[in-house]
Amino acid sequence: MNFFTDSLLSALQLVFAADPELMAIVGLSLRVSLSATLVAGTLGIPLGFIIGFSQFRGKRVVITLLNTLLALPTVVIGLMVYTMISRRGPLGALNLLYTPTAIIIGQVILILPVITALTIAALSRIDDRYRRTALTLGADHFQTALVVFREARFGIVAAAVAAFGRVISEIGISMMLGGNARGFTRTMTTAMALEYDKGEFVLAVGLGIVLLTISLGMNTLLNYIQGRYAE
Amino acid sequence: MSLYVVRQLQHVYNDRIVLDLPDLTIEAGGMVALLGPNGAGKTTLLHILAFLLRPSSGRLWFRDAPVAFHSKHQHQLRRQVVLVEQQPILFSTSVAKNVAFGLKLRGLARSEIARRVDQSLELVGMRDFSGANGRHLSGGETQRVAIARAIACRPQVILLDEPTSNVDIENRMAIETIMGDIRNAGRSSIIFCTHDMAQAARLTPTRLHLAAGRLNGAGYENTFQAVLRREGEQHWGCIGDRLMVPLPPTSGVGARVAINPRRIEVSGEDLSPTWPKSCPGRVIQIVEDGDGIRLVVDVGVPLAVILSFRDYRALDPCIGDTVHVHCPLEALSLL
Repeated sequence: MNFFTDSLLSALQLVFAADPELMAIVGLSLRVSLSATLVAGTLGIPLGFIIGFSQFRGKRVVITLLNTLLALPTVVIGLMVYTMISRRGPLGALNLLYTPTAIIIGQVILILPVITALTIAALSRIDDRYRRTALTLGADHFQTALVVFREARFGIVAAAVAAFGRVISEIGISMMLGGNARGFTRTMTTAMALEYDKGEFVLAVGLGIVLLTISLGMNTLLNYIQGRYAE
Repeated sequence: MSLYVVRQLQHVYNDRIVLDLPDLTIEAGGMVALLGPNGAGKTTLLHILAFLLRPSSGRLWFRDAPVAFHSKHQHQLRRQVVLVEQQPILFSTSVAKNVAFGLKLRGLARSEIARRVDQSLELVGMRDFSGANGRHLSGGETQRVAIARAIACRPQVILLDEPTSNVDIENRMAIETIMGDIRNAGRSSIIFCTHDMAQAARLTPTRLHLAAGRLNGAGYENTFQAVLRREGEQHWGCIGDRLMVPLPPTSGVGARVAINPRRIEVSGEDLSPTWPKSCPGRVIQIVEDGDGIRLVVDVGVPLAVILSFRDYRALDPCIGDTVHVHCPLEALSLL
């Protein structure tokens, strides 16, 4: 019990003292995960929109495939991207391996299906009368799509938040593609794993507290937005 | 110029023909009521007339020009017709922005948009709500804002799908008044559907009757399922538990019949020997209907009867009176 409380208290001290190493790790994690979410959102939201909004043969197959990709293990993505960007891989010349960019690439692959599938789900919940109303009031197809997007905006924000939560807490990709280099590619989760291996729990628990706080903050924000919408 | 011309139009849904209109012309200017029971194809027809639904086959002309349902520029055509759905939905923004939506799409100047939004909301009595969120309105208020949103666009046609079926009496009266105002302003033609015969009678003399996807003459409004009962050589159709109508001998176990409201005979006294199987009923509604008076008589089922002014004065019925109705064979049509 002493061990647990000692670690927790020391970790809290570390957090409140804004320990420079801890802050650097948190900063990098946020930068990488936000970039990955931004890139995946820029690609995934329009993609989800195109799939959700259009009628084509094999649409159900595509959606099933996307839902299957939601369960893609991070180590598989890590391995896949590694073979592409390692020196012997086709993109080896770009020297991306063990850089934050490599982590971002892997994380984008991880959450692209998440954002796409959740965008499709958000659109499917939008009443079809919105589409018909926009059309009958004289909107063309693009303007109609914007109306539906507007009505689905909270669902789409929720998709982005869920995707961010997935990448900020993943470890496989960060470890395999980032390499956990101190001050360069060390993220919260890889740092925690390393500290655990070393038997140094204070920093690990401190990072754990920060990670949980970020998750709590994101979900509180999401709840607030949705609460305002439901009013 | 005809507003709509329909030729050989059919719409198939789930392998069932839900609309079958060989020939229909609707003239511009004025108000047309589309009557019929639930599932008659009224909404399907309105969606086709709003260019939102492509019919399975057939052709449609709008203001003498053929309608190309697959055209990429169909929104230009749609801007001349606005449909207000049975349960309209408002965008999750303010009432004023909802009304301004169609005007922005038409590229109107900001001052003109503000003027028309104000004017349209004033017409439906919702001006005080212009800043309110569209999601927070009651059913009747939503319906009125949706009508204002359509009026603001000043389309050639406003299509209203059962505009008063989901609102209270106060809103129903308000909406009927608004519809009358639009008609009187003469800017837009109105086509609305309803299953309320009295409402249609109050609002317009131009009425189309749809039953099972087909257009029927005006005499087809009392549509019932009759169960066959044989009495010697005579075949009767039993409707509800009281009304008996004569049926031709080849009707099987029953038939769907329509009773022409103008051919039903009504008397204040029981004329049983002269009128076989005449049936007593209570007068539950009296309303003016174009060139006559419409009575609704409760004979176990609500039966609409249209009397000439002379017959009406001779009968002089009041609400709650008992009258005797007789449906002669010539009033009957088998569907």
